[in-house]
Amino acid sequence: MTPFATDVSQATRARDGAGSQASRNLRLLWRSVGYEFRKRIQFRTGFVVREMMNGAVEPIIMLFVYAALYRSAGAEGTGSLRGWSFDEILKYVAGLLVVRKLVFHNRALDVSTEIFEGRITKYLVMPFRFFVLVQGRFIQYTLLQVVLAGLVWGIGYGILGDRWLVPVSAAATVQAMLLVGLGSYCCFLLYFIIHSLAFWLDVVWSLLVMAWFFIAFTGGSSMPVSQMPAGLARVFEYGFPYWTISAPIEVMMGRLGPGDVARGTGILVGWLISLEVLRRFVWRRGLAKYVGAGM
Amino acid sequence: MRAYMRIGWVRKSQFRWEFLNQVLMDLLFYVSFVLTFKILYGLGGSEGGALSLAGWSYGEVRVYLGMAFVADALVMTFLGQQWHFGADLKDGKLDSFRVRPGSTAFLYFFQRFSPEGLTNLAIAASWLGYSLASGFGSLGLGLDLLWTLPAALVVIAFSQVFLMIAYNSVELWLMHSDVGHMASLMLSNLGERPLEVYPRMLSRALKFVMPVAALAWYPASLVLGRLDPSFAAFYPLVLVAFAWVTARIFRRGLRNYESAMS
Repeated sequence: MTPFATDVSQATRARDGAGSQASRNLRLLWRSVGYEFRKRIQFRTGFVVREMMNGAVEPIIMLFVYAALYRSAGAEGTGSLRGWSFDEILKYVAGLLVVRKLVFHNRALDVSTEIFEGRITKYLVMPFRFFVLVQGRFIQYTLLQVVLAGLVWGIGYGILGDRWLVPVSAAATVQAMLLVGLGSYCCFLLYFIIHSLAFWLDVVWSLLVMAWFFIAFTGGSSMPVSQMPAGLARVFEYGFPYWTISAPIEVMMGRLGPGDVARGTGILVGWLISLEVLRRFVWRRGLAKYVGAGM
Repeated sequence: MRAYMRIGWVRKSQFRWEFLNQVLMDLLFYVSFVLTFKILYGLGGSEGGALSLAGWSYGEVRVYLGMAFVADALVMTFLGQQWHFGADLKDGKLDSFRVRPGSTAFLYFFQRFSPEGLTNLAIAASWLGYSLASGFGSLGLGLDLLWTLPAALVVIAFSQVFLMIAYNSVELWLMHSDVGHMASLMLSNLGERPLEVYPRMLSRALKFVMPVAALAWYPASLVLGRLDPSFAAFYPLVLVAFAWVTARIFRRGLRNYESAMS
């Protein structure tokens, strides 16, 4: 083979090599475009699923269960079971769909992870309190959920009209939102306290799940508290979950008046102060034993 | 020395504390369910009196709940790893399971056995046993139970595995989007109430499309003798078909997996 031929073949190979390199790059580029789209779609799908669907299924299931019960009792029309007609239950479920969106959810906090992984240190040297950042999370969560709850209410009203929960007055709406806001902050404080137990415990998720079971059941997520046996309802009325979920809905329905709202506000403020004191205590004790490297 | 002793004490007690917490957590779940149904049936006056839930008496619903609790406890005991599937996919942690000589799904999903879950399985089984024992007179249960109960438990275990694979298959396309997780929670929730309370279309979908009916409705109905014999015999074939389709979809989804895809 002549030197010339060798040069030609090398040039051809180099050209072929450059060509295959270009086509490989092109394939890689195409694939990475696919990945980027996939990531965006995943993120948005996750957002819709988490934010829109969260808290929506249980109330709807509850409605089906109630419909079957009222049918069997022959109380579908004007009849009532322990002071609640089926139309009122329908409004209550509508209220649940809206109110449960507004109540602070544990998934918005990751304080325990920060503690486990020893990342709290960086916040401690900043010229502000760490809790301000977490409060910012609460406000962001609430603002986003107000928009979503408004959307859910609008869709429901568009479909069901007056059978959907329409607040009896603007004042009742404001009163109910005051109760939900205070109650949601109580939930936020409770979750923060449980997260702070990560200073001592290795795992806290089971405690968070138990807290939600407690809030949901005593708050009236599976049935109106006032429809429960009288003794049980009386006990639950001293807890903040009742004034966070069940009572605000009844306020909007006109079943509870301003006197009840004042009492509820008092109870919620009492809980709020107690939980805040406990939060400060737990956080301070936790920080005292924190060594900056997780557990 | 005191500090070392304290750390040692904390380290050893952590797992006992967590064990207790998880047992308590599921116990709370069972209690809240039972209490809710007890109160609902109590709305009509005496417990289990005039009220029925779409044809289910209180005694029958107790058996239904027993099946639902057993199904839930089986997941908690053997299939707890499923909650990490989305994150593990995203981090490319499936590689080591794919190269092992065995079913990837089996090796991955069964890797996390939970003693806490097993304790809850014992509690759930006790509740089921109690419900069945107290129903011997009132629910007309007889010796049929000798074959219907084992059959019901096999159906629950079989369906739970394939339903879980079906939920998680979504993650193979929409990774870490929570769709599979939410679908699992929503559908399990729907299956924890007698299917007769739902509109016919939804009820059919829960029997034949995503058969969560196999977790509590079919087993409870089989044990209580509420099923038409031909349906009782035919339905397991539906479940086998569902399992076959699910396995195919999962295998196809696995082909999409290219290690760390995040």
